[in-house]
Amino acid sequence: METTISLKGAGKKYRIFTRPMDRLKELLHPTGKKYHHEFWALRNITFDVPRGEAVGLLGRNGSGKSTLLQLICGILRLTEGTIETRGRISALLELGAGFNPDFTGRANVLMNGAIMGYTMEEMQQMMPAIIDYADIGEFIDQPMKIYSTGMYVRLAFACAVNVKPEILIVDEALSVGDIFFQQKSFNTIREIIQSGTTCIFVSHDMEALRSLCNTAVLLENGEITYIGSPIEAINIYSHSVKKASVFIPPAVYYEPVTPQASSDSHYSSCDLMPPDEILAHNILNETTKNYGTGAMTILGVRVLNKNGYDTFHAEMMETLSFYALIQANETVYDTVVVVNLFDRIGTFVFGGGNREVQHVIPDMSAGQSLIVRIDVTFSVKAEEFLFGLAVKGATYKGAETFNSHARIDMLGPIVVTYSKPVSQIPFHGIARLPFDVKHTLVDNAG
Amino acid sequence: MLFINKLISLKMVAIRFFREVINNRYMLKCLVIRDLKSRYTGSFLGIFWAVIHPVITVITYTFIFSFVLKARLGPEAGTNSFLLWLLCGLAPWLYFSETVQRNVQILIENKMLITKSLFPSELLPLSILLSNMLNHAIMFGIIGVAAVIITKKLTILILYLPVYIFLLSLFILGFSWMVSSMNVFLRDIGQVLNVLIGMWFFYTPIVYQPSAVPEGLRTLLKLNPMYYVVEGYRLSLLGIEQRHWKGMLVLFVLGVVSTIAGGFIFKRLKPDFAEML
Repeated sequence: METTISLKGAGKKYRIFTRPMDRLKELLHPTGKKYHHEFWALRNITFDVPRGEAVGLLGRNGSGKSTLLQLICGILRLTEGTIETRGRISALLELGAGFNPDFTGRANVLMNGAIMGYTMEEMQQMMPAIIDYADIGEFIDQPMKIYSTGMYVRLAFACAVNVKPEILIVDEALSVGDIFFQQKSFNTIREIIQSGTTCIFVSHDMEALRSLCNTAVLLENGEITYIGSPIEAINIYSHSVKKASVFIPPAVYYEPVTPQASSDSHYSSCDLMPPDEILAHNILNETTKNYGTGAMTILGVRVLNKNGYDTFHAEMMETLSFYALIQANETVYDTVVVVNLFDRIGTFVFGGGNREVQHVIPDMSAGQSLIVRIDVTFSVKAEEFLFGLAVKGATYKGAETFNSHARIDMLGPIVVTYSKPVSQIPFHGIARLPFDVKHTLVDNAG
Repeated sequence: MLFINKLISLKMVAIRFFREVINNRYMLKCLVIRDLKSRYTGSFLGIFWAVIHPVITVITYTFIFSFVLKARLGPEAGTNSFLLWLLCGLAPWLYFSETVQRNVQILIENKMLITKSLFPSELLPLSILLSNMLNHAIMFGIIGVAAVIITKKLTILILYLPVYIFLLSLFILGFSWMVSSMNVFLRDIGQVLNVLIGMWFFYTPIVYQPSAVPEGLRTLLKLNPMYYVVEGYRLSLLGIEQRHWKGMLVLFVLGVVSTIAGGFIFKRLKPDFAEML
């Protein structure tokens, strides 16, 4: 396949001067003393893009994505290595970049065409398609400074894709505009790729990258850390982002204290977990909001991992045990205790308790306490979750039945992490559903 | 051999530049119109300011030099009208100083175009030059008419004026390329230039005649490119028949050297504009 963009050991070095004066000093220094320190924004970038291929660039802020695009466009000068490009480049480097706000939309389009090397006649021929695509009406003959952000990006995009480039470079431009325009631009880019145009994107929209690109390049601190399938790149990227930003709460181990040892205990012995142990490492405090009808009180909650450490951290697929100490203030029948899990945008991810597993809790009389342990296996994506605890039951006042409950929300956060190699990840997506794989190899008959 | 090679490559660069100007003529036109518009939109008198400003300046200078300081023009001035004589010298100076002072900041002003697209930034100083040229063309027209009316003679020498305008423009273009590109790297250039131009005005025989300068210092005067410009304008506008060829030759060499040197500096510094802006 024919190569349209070829990078070989490309690198960009910036010279950082702490003070502007230093720049002058270095310029005028008779023996050429250096006053700057070097910063490699990009180093050792080598990859080829065949014709018609779509490449996505991934990486955190400051990883060098935009610098790389600017180098490919030829706006910045390479410090080392080579970049070869074949064909006309159309670039959307930033919203409205390259447009002059004093000029009308039409004039800007014509000028853009001239920069790209089209003649006036060619541009006039393409003009109707551009105006039609941008769909900004009479504003095409108004200076661009009065444009709304949406109109700006519409025209910029219309101009970039309708000039029949051999190479299209798009930096974050897909994320602007309303949903209709986003879809339209999405489809257009797809068509352009199919028609044989080479594309390079930078986007933080993982879905866009996944559906548009054949190849993804992952940049970290100016170097390529992965190049290959977009799905794999997105996985590596999202894990590396999480690793960097999530605070993992420490796990603490407390030596269990037998109930006999605490002399003032008014609870009888308990094989699940002595109430004093729950209260001693209670995650609830005075500020915790307790909702409910008052028939029951959640006195304490304790969260342990499988090694008996008090923690809010679970490795993916690891089980945490939620202990709850509940006191009945009246006679309560049909008690149900549940743990609820919510993600960072409030999605109710999971809720489960004794009723869901057909575990019956006997009726409680006033003053009686209940200890419940719910083990939850965190087969969910590596993220932060908030959890809540709720207890429900029926109480009677005379002949009437009441639904009584007590509830505590917004506990946590529980941090789920994944630290093993990405290739061993047990599932993709939000949560792991029970699944299984079977296979048979069939030999070709004859 | 090396020299010939250099010359050939120079020719190639020049051809490429002209081709680029032709390809981007629409943009150049837009840039020129924008500059003209931005200068006068919203003002009541509009384009007339291009004339009002120098006229008021000239009247002020005339008042000070002619009436307060009682300066009298020598016979070689070609006219008795101090005002006309001053105008002839001041017009090219304003053309030069305004263009250069505006151009020194032009790349910084158009930062977005340079850092975010492949913009032919060498056209920006050219566009300002062209816009100022149009501006001053109006002035030249008025001065020309005034000169004919006041001196009551119309000589063939007035045809030299476009040549002088062209040579001065070449000089300004090269100078603009040089200062604008250097200013990207060292913003002090703009400040230095302001000081320099303020002094340069008085070291150029605009408000005084070269003959008023002591004999020994007159050679020093001839090191100043603007000396030949001001002299040339006066000679052609006021119809003084003397020393035309020598001055024009010097100016031609200066213009070409300035354009090549400025173009060379600009070309060398251009790849790093995006980084420095």
